[in-house]
Amino acid sequence: MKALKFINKFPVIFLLLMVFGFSAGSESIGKSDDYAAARKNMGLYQIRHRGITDRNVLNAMESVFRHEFVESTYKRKAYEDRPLPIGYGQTISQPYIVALMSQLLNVDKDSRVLEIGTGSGYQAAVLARIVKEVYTIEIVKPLHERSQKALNRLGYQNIRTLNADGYFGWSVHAPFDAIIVTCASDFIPPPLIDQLKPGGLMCIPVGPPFKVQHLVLVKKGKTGDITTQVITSVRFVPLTRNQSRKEE
Amino acid sequence: MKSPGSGIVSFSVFFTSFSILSYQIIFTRIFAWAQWHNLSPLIITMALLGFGASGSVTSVIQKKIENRYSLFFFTGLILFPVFLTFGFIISTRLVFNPYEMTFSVGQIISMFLYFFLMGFSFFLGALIVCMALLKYSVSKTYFFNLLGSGAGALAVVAASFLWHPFHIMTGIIFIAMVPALVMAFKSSVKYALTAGTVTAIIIGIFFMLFSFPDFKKVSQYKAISGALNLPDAQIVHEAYSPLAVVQVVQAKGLRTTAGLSLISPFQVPVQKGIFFNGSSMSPITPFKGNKNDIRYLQHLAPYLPFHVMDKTKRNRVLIIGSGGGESILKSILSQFKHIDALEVDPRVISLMKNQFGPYSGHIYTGKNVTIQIREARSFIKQTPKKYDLIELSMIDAYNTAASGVYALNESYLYTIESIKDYVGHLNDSGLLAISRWVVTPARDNLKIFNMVIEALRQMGIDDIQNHLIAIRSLQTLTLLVSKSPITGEMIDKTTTFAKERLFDLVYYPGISENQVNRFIKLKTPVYHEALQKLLSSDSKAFIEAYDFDIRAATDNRPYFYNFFKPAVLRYIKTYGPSQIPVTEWGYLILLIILLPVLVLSFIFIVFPLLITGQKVTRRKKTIFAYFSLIAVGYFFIEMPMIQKMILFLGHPSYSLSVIIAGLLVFSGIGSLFSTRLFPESKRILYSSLSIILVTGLYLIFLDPILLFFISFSLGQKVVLTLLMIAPLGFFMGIPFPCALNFLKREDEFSLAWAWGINGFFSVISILLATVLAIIFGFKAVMMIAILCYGCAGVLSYQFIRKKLS
Repeated sequence: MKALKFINKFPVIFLLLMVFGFSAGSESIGKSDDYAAARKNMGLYQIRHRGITDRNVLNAMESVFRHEFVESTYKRKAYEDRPLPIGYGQTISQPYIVALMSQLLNVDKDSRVLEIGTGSGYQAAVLARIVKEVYTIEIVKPLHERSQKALNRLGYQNIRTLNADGYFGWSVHAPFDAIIVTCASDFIPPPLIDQLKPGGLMCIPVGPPFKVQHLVLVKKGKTGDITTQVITSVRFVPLTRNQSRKEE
Repeated sequence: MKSPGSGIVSFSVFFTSFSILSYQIIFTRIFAWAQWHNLSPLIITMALLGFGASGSVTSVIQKKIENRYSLFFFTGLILFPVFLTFGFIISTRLVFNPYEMTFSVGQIISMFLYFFLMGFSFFLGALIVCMALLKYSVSKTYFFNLLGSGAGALAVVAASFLWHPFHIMTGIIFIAMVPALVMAFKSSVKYALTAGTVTAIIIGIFFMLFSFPDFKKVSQYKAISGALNLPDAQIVHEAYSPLAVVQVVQAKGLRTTAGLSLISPFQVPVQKGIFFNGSSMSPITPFKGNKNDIRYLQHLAPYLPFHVMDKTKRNRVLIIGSGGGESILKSILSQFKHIDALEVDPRVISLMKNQFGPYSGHIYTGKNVTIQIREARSFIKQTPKKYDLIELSMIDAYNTAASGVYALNESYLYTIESIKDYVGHLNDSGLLAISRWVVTPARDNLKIFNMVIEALRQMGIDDIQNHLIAIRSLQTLTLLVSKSPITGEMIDKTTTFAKERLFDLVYYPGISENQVNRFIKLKTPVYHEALQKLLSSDSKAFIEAYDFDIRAATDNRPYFYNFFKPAVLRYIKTYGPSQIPVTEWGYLILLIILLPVLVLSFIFIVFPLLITGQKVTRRKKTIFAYFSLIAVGYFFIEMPMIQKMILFLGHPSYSLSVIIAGLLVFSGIGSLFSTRLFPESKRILYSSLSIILVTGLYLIFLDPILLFFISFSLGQKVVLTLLMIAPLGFFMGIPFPCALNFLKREDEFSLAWAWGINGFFSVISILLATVLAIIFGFKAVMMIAILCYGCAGVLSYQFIRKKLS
């Protein structure tokens, strides 16, 4: 009763206490360990159950701290089945898209990969767990600095970052076994094709931010011939969490 | 304290109405520039809901208002600009991301709070007018209300040529402050001090706002924000007009082009970008006269029509939407002798001729280049010239094409009639080329296929399959429509062009299944299959069964960008709300808004009756029916007129401003004369019949009249439009104040209540008019308006005759 009287008398103070109490509670989730379960769930329900089978990709997705690549306000949503804003009009892709693109590149521990559009650095971190070296270019300086900081903090040694115009690729380190273009572009810069090894693959998501509609896989044949495959409707792969639970 | 004089009230009503309408229009502009275009209907909805609520609230507290009229009136006047300021500040700080809204409750709450706040400022404005109606002459108050609104609409258009929308908004808020200051200084020291303090605070707030460096920042998801994130980026030119805020950005690494071959041996140079309202970048390519610098253009899929055309026939080309000049460069590269280009925005022509003339190689002032500030349809209707090539290339930005934000926008560029006009202006061997983005799931290109086939069919061409060629790059699709059957030589050139650049063949006469989907492999060759089906006798079944609305747009239903069909909802049902942006949500937003508006309107209309213990008599029902019918009638005429005049005046902004301002001012004059015209008992009936007669005449004669005058200059067409709508606006201004006058003699509850009903039904009818126009076309909407005025006339005759007797 006393408590009720207090609420009636000081409703504003009560509301403030509620808000601060809630905020204080939400801070505790910020510790890395608390995300292990969320990451595991993500791997199981969003990635494996949607048909990602590459063991290296699965291991990488389940070990990279995705929450370290998003802004603090979105940490709680880091492992949800959606892209998230990272500022500068860019997004960190939906986990499934990251996994699918990594699998499509068909790379292994000896591969060298070029990424155009570092963004948050998450895609580079996932690839770094799979391949020998990742070269990543970001034209937006603040994004480059932020992702570089995150990658250094997390101890990724096999990622090289560059703040430059991705149009020209990174010719000094070319050719690459695979190229991944993660920035929004109206067209694929032709110089990138030249920097792809014969037999190499290039993967590009197409569509405006938040709306990856299809992935494009460019294959450079052994003789340098180019074929392109459009993997349509990647956003239309449903989340089968409930269904999967029933199956279990 | 004694009530303010009639002069001050009329003055206040005029300036408040001026501010309400100009604030609404400039807010839609600010939203289109800084945020998202498709939230604009929400602004109009909130404004009119505010009007409705003001009537409901006044009907409940009318006695209190009467007792302390001066205080209530002054409080309304002083709070109105204060809340306008709040709305403006929040709009500059909040950034809505429609995609984030599908999962972020915070975004949705902040959006609703924001619109609520905005609605409240409109409520205050409408309250001032409603209070004036209570105490002073209805016809005079309504006259100043409409005159002020009309003046506001016109003033915004004029100001938009000179200033940034933020500066105009600031001006409007200070104009809204004027009535409070005038009344305060004529009333008492206390009022004067209050008004003076509030004005000083508002001035202080604006001073602080404009001192923020990122005050004029737009949403980070707009294309211009992306460009400004690039190294050394800066806005090098900025210009304003009612059409859009035009900004030119230069930055390292800024380059764009559509449909570039993956294996182009030529590089795309760094360009400058012209941005319209922060999106739709049109590139200005550096050109010093050396064609080698622009050879990459020959490796674009939209270059196909320039490539396949016989060199001897490259005489005259018409480019629709020349923008930064990419298509002019293509024409120069392919050695066309005469290049005619149309650009609707005069500022683009000015900056291409002047500031960026040297940078762009003076292409806009080339000897063989003729640039006209014209909308394509009005130009093509009046030109006697015939063309070898008419090109519409990548007119929409990719985001626009994919996002469905223009679902509610009328476009006369893509209708069956427009295709017939284009093809009709081709030489015998001429080509019409349409290039658009490839959007998944396929819809807009299929609608183009359908429209072209339908247009050719209507032109009496039997072998349509022999008149089409289509190719696809990774992100674009180019369709060629030939006036004569496609030649073997043209087919050979097309296949070579596509093969050398790794483009895919979608269609040519005699194409076989194994020639499609070879380089850029889709899961199924959806475009090829769709075109084949549309060319077959099963086309109707295919169109009906398709998930998106790909029915051909017509001049009567010019909603090319609307692809919504209930079947689209299954994407959301199956895959969750994250799919909302993938669907055609411009249309969905309209339906989503309509539901709460109906609920709110019902509550606000019934609530005053319950609170004041009024009985729902037959008379109340008649009042309800009458005021809702005239609101629906008014907007069911206004909305189609706005849409109809887009084609005539050349741009939605011109049409919106001229029709709104014109109808308001002429309705205001109608209101002023409403007490003098016709015998009192038959006044409403006769004015309703006049509206029906004039609307009927429009339905029959408007199209041929517009066609006859379409070649006139914009200024002449504006005058003609005003003359045409004058009689209609005049008569439309009579039924509302006339009926209010009758109610005022009877009881003031009904007056305020009726004002509210009219406000609520104005929102409902604006939303419904668009939905119905999309489904049934403009003519059907105007027919409903005729019916509404007919019913209202009969109803009024009933209840007014009884009252008089």
